[in-house]
Amino acid sequence: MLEPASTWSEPSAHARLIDNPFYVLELAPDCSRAEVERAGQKLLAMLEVDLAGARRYSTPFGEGPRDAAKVREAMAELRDPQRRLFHELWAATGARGGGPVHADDPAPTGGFSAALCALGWR
Amino acid sequence: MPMFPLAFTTIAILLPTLLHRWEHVGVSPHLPPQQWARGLWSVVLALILSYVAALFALSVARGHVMHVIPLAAVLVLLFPWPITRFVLIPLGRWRMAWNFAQLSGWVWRGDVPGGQLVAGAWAVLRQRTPSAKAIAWLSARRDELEPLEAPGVVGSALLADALGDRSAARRMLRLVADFEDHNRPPLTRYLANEWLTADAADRGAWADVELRGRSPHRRSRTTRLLGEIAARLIGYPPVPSNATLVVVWLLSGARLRTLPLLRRAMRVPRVDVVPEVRRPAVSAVEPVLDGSALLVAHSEAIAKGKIPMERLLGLGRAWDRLLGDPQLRDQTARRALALRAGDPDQVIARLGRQVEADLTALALAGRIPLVALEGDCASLRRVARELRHLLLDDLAVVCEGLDARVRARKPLAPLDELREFMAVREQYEQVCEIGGPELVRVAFSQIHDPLCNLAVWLWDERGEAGISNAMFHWLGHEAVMAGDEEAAELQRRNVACGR
Repeated sequence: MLEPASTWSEPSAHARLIDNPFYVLELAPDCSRAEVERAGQKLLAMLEVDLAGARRYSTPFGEGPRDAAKVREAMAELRDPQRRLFHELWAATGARGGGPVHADDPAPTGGFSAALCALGWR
Repeated sequence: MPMFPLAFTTIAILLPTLLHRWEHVGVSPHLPPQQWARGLWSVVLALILSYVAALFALSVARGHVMHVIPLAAVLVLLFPWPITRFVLIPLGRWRMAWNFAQLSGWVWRGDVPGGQLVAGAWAVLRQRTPSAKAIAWLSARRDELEPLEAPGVVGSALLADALGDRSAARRMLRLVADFEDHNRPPLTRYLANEWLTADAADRGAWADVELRGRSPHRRSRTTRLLGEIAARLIGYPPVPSNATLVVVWLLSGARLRTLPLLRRAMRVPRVDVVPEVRRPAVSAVEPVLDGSALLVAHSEAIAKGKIPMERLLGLGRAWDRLLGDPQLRDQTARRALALRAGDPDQVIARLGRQVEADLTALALAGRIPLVALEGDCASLRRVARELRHLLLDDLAVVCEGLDARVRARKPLAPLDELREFMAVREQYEQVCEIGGPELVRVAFSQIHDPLCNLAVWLWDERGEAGISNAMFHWLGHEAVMAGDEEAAELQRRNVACGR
């Protein structure tokens, strides 16, 4: 069955955008292979001792949760040159993007919130 | 006892009673004899009770204060529904409302348990915080309803609203319009229309408010006001003047609450909006999105989850240009060489597939019609093809599941059967909305047999005449829309069989 608009695109497209390995590891798209390894090991150590700052990371599209599995997955993605090149294309947008965009920002509908009360339903 | 005061008091009590009952019973020459007999009995009962009430009223007037008690009891028997509706429901006394509704069987055309559910659920809705215990108790009574008629559906919808599931409540109340008149007391249609109008106004769906608020069916004065205000806000002809709005507002029942909305409507100029103007204007000069600007626009679009059609078309064209741009290939090839990433075309092809998947999700979320995607843009044409398959495949999966269950005769509770029907119907309507006339016929041929088999099973073997008739009614309407004469004729016969 098709799902409503708000939930259909989020887990696939929006989550994929936030989970870009460059954002997870807090690296620039033109970083070297050694920098990927260093950043990954550092984050895994931080998560091991449960440092507060390690649990979340910021992206131009909002904050994302981080755990050891996600860090290892990001490192694996960036070790593969072809997959890394693909992620580079998307991560390059981050530097140029505007502020965070939230999928659940309420659109101004111009509704009448007292309607249900006015008609005796509340 | 003097005859004149007695006759006068009797008529004074009888007249509002009869008018009230006339309004709710909905007398029609098409009603079956059983309904006529019930209505006649209601009138005779009202006559007797009015006479008794007049006797007690005159006795109280002569100083027999103790006769107030039997007078009150008779008045309760005469006006059970007004007492429930205007006293118990606003106070949130759900159990008392439930019990009092038992006395007003004529309002519900005999479906007393369904009416009790409506009264109880409505009273729960009026509580500041809906009581979980009350909802659980009423849900248990709801599950015992067999067969499920229109009052039961309205009561279930109000319970869903009390639980915070407004979309489920909306779906169920929309279904009430498909019930046959003999399975649907006029009050249920009235209540469904009132709730749907309030909900549409709350969401800002003013076209829907206008349609319902100005419909020829019975509606409250506040609903009429909302209809007029909606017409003014969207410029739907005839657009009411300020004077009309003020008069309708003065006649409405919720003047204080609707005053801000009235002011808002009066600030809107009184202009008829003709269809040409209503159509969104396509900007003549489309901003050209290149490399980085395109990626930013695309990322923002998928972060938002939904974008207007013009922006989606712009994105599609821009991606077509970028993916075919030799400069992108050069840059990717250089970067691939530096990273030893192999064939750059594979990465670009993967990017193209990802982009199409994103555009498909955006088109689905924005309910963009397929015909708008079938233009000169290759990416969007592929998106349209993918979307067509996706819509039809999902509909087929739901229909096959339903058909298999019906063939295996695995029954669900009547309300769950109705929910399953509504799920298929909602998906079918989505396919029709997005796919347009091209997909209507195909989609209808997919849903017709499973839904018809379900309705026949409910009718023949389970005695659920109310909901099965509503299904036949809807299928017949859709058959006409899809141009399937054979199915339309079959459903006409099925509906006639249920009368």
